[in-house]
Amino acid sequence: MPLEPYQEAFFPNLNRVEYRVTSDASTRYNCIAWAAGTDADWWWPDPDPDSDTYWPAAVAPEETLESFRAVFESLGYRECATDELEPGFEKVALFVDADGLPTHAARQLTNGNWTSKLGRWQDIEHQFLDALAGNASLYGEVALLLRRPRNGIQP
Amino acid sequence: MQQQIKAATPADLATEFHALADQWRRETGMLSSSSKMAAHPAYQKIIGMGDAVIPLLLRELEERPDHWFAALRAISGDNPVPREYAGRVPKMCECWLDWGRRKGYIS
Repeated sequence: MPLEPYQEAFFPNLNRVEYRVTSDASTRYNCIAWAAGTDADWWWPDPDPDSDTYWPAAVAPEETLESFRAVFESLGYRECATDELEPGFEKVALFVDADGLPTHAARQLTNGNWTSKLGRWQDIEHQFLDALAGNASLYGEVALLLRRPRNGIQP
Repeated sequence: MQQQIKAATPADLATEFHALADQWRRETGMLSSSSKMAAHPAYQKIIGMGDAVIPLLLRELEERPDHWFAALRAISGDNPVPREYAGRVPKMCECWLDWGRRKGYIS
């Protein structure tokens, strides 16, 4: 089942690659939570003490790639070079927009495809990370790849 | 002859609110960034509509929970959500709906 045409229109590469919708839409969780392995919370950094979002307390609540990297490093991920499937490793890709601001995260599945929660829309499974790139003012491009062993925390 | 300016009726207000809410949902639905969601012009216009839209925002939370928390905080100057519930949308909705009942915005 594809996304609706108005949704696809935001992602210029999406209708050129294979993807499928894998969940209903949900306002409960976002791509960062989903990449981190939960569908219970909305994760986003916000320095406001009245913030409506979750962000791990040990990481500075800054809308920077470094803050996002620190969150995934706290979960055992370390930077890696490629988005190729490596047996025994789970990977996460972080996207930034044209201003270098984090926008999106995708997590690699055991079949090499990627799973992405699209904001408050659905989850999709997509073959290539490029499927969600190509719109500089939206998700932008992949800026950082991280990996961790699938069976536990990296030393 | 002087033209009289007609005051907005509750029905006009609801129509405008729902049009803006639909626009916001459609144009920001793919975003994870809470700051970008709240900065969208339609969201800001809703905030600018003031106290009168609080019951409409609460009704939205009840019927289709969404990220109206920043708007409710901005309009009301209040925040009934304890820090430990930040990011837990169903719990945040409950807190705001309880707040709305206590304040008499909804029954």
